[in-house]
Amino acid sequence: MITFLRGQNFSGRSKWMEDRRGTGFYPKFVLVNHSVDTTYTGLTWTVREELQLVSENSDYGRAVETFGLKDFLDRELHVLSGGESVRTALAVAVLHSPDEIQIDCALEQVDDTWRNKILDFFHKDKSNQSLVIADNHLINDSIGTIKDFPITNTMQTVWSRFSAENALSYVQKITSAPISIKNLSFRYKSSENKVFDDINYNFLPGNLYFFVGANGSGKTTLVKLLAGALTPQIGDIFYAGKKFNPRISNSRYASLAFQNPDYQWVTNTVEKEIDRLRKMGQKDKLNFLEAFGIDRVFLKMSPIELPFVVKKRVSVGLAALSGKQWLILDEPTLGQDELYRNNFANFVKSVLKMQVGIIVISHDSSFRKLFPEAKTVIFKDRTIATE
Amino acid sequence: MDSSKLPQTPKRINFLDYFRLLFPLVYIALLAPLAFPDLPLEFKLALFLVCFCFGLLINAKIVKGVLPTILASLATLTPFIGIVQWAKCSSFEIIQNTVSQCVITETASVLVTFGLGTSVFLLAVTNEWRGSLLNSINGLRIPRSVRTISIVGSVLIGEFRKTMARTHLAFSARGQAYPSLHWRNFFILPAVLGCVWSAVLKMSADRLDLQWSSQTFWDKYIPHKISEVKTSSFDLIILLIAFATIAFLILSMTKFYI
Repeated sequence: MITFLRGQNFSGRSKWMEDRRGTGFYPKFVLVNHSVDTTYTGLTWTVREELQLVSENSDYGRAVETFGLKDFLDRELHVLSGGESVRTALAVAVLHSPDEIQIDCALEQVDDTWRNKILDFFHKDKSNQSLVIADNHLINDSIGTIKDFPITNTMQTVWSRFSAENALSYVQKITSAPISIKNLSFRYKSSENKVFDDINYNFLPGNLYFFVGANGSGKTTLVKLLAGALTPQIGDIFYAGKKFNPRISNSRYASLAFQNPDYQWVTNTVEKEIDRLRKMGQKDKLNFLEAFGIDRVFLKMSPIELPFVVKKRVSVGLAALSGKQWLILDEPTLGQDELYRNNFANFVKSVLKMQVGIIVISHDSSFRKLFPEAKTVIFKDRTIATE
Repeated sequence: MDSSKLPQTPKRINFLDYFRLLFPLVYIALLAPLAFPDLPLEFKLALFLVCFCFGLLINAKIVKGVLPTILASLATLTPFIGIVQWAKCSSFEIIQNTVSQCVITETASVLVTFGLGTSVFLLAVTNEWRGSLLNSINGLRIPRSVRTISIVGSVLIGEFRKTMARTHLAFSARGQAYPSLHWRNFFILPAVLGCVWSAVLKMSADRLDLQWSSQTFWDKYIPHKISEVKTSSFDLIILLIAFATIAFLILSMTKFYI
């Protein structure tokens, strides 16, 4: 039985799930949220070990097949891509055999094919296990029931203050230089298979590129290569015709907002995070937050304590603030409601007019449709190509 | 009459269970030559090679995984040992043919001792590895509380490894310099590392709230009864090597004292 929770951000869906779990709920309830790490037992290192442990060495083959884990069974849990992590966490959740699995801001990271397969599996599942999903994009009344959450607090007024004009004033006017990828091949040390095999591509300034492909096809890997977090084994990346070497280059060309925003905090308050990037007065910092649809109360808070939707907004805002030539955003609309997504789309369109290049990874097809002029880069079979 | 209510017949304890109990002593026996500095270097070297090769034979994957760390520590340790031995050999109290000969002999002796200790440790790890850290620790015949502490300790070490990787990502995301190569970053690196570590620990705390706080969780993964660990042919060979080592030690001591 599937229940879809419908409501905007801060309408109380996560709290409703928490209240439902109550205390001492393990193993009756299992939560799969954006931080899938909390679904894992934490006692193992690889996907196979985790499945063996949770299934108590019984047959976990069906879970591997249902959630498509075969290709990365021996990979370490913390190096999986976003979609792979969520699929693994769902398999772990099912193997726990709880009464209820709660999914909060997680299934959005899974590609369309696997998302449909997973929903179909839970829909047809004859066990008494129930599934609760807090994700507006997945609502389908033909396979489950819908529970509505009306807005009952004042947060909504703050969200509506996200304006493209105000947010744009925090983006530096830097014309981006073209990026060229030449004969690039890459393989993770822990894997026998190459992620990319001899790829070539040119990213031109002032354009919006959507990275699209199945989970594990290398979208995040390429983004990390462009940001200098990884170094290609073969081939080169050129910024403005100059070879980019992350180990030597003191100044990077791209700023990146990770899929999991917890990966990018370097200080213990949102205020200090802003200070690290740009010196500005207290009033300006508060205006910056509101410009990106973030309530002022979050300024003094630790970024790791923020609600997930706010974390995502802060990470996107900080990436925009860093003043780099290229803005790379990994699933920027994850967990966000329609209002934010529409405002954010306007912001992206305005930034593009400033000739700043933007790369967006997104499984959110409705968000992509807001940009008919954008270039879609398809990741498939260890290579990339424009659609 | 319900047979389940009948008193259970005490299970006969298998001899092999006792045999497994001996194993910590077996590894200690293999380390015993370290306590005898006068033993021939050739013997220590041979034992080091035997233990290392046998560990490789049992589980090459683990040895290969640990080898870079061991080689890195050796590369760091060797020059320091060389300097210390050079200082020792240069002092007038020690009379040798030449200082260089003295340094080579003394350094080799320390390195072989270090190598022997490492190879026995590797042999123990490869032989006791049961497919995962949890299974290995659960397979050890130690109290449940000690097993729990060992497992949680190992998990936190793993979390720290994750912290290191995330720190690098956090730097990269800002478009900042590569942390290890720019001197300015060394000043902020400890603060960043602390912040990322706290983020990772926060995730562990969330897990504590969601899973680890439950007694059912620990009952499931760290059983009260120690799981049965079957003896293998490797155990027998290791036991023979340990016997041979002890025999050699006794013979050597007899030779010294007669």
